[in-house]
Amino acid sequence: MLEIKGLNAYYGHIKAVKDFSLRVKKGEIIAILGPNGAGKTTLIRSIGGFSPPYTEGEIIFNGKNITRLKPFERLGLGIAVLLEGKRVFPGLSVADNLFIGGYTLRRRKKELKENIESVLELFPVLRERLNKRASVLSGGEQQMLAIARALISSPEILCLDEPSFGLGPKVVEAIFKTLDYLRKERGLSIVLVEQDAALALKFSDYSILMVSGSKKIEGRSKELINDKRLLNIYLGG
Amino acid sequence: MIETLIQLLISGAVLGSIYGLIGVGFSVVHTATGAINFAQGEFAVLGAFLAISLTGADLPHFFAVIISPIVLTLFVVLLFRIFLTRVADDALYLVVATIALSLMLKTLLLYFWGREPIGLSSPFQGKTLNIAGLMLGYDQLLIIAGALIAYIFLLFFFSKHPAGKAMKAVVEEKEIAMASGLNPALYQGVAFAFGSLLGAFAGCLVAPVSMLSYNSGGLLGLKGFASAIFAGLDRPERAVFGGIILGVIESLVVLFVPSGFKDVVALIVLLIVLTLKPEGFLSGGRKRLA
Repeated sequence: MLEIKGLNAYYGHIKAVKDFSLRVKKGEIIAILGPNGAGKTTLIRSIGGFSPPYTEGEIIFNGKNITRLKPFERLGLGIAVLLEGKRVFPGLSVADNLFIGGYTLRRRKKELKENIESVLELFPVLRERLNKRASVLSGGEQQMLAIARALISSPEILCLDEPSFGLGPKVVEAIFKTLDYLRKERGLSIVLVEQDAALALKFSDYSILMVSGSKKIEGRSKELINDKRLLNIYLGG
Repeated sequence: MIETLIQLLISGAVLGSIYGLIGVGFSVVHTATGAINFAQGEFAVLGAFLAISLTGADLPHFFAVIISPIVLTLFVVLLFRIFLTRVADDALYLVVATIALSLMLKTLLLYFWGREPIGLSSPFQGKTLNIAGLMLGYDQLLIIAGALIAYIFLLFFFSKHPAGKAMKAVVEEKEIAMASGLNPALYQGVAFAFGSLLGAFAGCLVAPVSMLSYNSGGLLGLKGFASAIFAGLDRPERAVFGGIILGVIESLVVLFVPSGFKDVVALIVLLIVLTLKPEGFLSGGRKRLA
């Protein structure tokens, strides 16, 4: 489905991601772990088509080379990205946030309506807040809205950068349960960048630990849970 | 005395409607790009001058007033595609580019239409409506009607129309908008097209009641900008009322100070708003300046 081949991403002379390759299959969840400055966010941004200004390598999606496509073109192909720290359009209502998520479907009104209904079933709390400004929602509700908005276009793959950041444990659990449901029921593939390594390992099929832009450790998440090297790197050992 | 006061209020509202229309152009561009378009005043003058030339070529007034804003809009879309698309992602660069565009348009206006002020002859010239003893010119009525139509249209556009919502989304969070499938450059171009259309329309409406010269755009732009700031840049449609309020203040000021000081009012209003309520007195409350 998604294949990254030899990706290098630069900010000026600084190489933030070094020779990174990855394959994501349908319905698979890949966790990208690593300390601050490991290049995880740059990797997600590169998959989404956002800056860094200069990248090398190839990103292939369903057989098509999308390396030079812009973010809005990638969404059209089925790649949805939730960027770190940016969740909602604060001045728009919840309903309008969802509408913008389905903007590419605006001429297929029936499909758009069904998709909005479907995400409201996943996150019922949003239904009660449809006419409220997104800025007045709690952090957890904003994250739910962000995921709901990303799902409206029925992506095949969802890339999430730090979805648990700043949220309470119950909200995080609810969000991750929903993501797990989407993977099992709809075959959604997920690339997850997460600081909470325990959570990410528990939730994902395969994990990659990045350090200074390169892969350091990778393997089945179940096996990595007990890998002491992971703990050492996180604790700076 | 009361009659004079009402007459001043009306003429203030008429002038203010023009400022408001130009102000809407500022706000629309700001809504989509986060930048201030300093060529907005020149769009108004260029629109008026094109209409004057078209009527000079024996085209009926009505057609000239319709065609001129359309031609200008196409010209601005072309300019945007060629020069501004690449800098549109950075508000600061875009502001600098619009200052350059303003100077370029001023030079073009001087080259093609000369230094002397000119006006647009209108079929309504000299025709007035007597309402309870108050004389109101048809051209003045058209200006107020034009501003109100623009207000209603923009209110609908930004709250109901998909493209209006998309434009708001682009300026609120450009990256999320891109991740949601929106192409920011498209909406930034649409905003410039809108701004130029409204500016040119304002120019066509004001030209029958006030002579314009190649450098009138600076003052018109300043007053339009003050209207937009007064209303709050996040609510484009409200700039119409910002303009009307500014026009009325400007008109009433002549009761207390020599009329030569009238033009300073916009600057004073601008300073007061920026000091006391930078998000604007008619805004939704979000502070958003370029």
